[in-house]
Amino acid sequence: MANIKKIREMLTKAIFEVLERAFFVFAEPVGVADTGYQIRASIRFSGPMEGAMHISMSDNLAKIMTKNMLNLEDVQVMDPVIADCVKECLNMICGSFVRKVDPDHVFQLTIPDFERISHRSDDREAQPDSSFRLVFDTEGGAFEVVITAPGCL
Amino acid sequence: MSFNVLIVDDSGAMRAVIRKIITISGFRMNQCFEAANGCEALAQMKQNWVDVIISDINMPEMNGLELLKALRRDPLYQNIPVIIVSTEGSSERMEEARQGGARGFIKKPFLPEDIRGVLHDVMGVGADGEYQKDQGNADEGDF
Repeated sequence: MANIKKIREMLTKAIFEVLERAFFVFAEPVGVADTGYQIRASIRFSGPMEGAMHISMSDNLAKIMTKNMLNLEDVQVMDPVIADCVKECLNMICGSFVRKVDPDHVFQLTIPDFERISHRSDDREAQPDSSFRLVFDTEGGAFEVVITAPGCL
Repeated sequence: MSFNVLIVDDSGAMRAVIRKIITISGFRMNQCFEAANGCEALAQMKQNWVDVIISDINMPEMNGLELLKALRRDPLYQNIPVIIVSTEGSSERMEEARQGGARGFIKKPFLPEDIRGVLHDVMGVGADGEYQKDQGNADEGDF
């Protein structure tokens, strides 16, 4: 239990770090999302700890993050650029998180996948075993992170 | 003195961010070239002279560590400084990069001053963009 609590803390810290530094987005932890998600990115990691992580967010939040990261106007925010920014967001969150888990040893991260989804706020996907979900509220809508780590969670 | 910079990262967004940060940092950049992986970086270097390389590690086709090895093997490129910018910031990885010849390491997410500081250190320039070694009296030269 203490281990899960610590992992939650490390992941939360990594999320705040990345969202604030790279995307100028401020997030507040909440229990449940009140918006649906249209975008998801996924990554797997291996090393001293093995697992997978995905982030989900609304189109609106993804556009805000992209505009903030690249200082773009609305008309410049196209799908390929959004996908790139969302994948980089997950890459940095996962990288920052595993560095906190074990700062001394190498982790291998896959190149993130990006997909468009249709997920309403009242949908509750069955959570796989050995996983937990963190949900945050931001100016652009909800931001969700799910981490799965068999043997660790 | 201004420098040609090569940015190597499979994320176009990250290349754009790094380019922008270098531009506004005061670092004297002449030309900026970009590549999405190590193979493209080597192809760029066949066409353009590069003074410093900023590279990610985790990229398809040829990753940053493989790029470092390729550069060290080539007498034409082996002295070009390489700065690694990566999410993979473990001490083991940083040591691996250092052993491979990297002169600097920046962890993502980074602040603008992180890139500026490492660039200036690696290139031996001061905050004013001038080589520290150049700041001497011309009359004291050899000729």
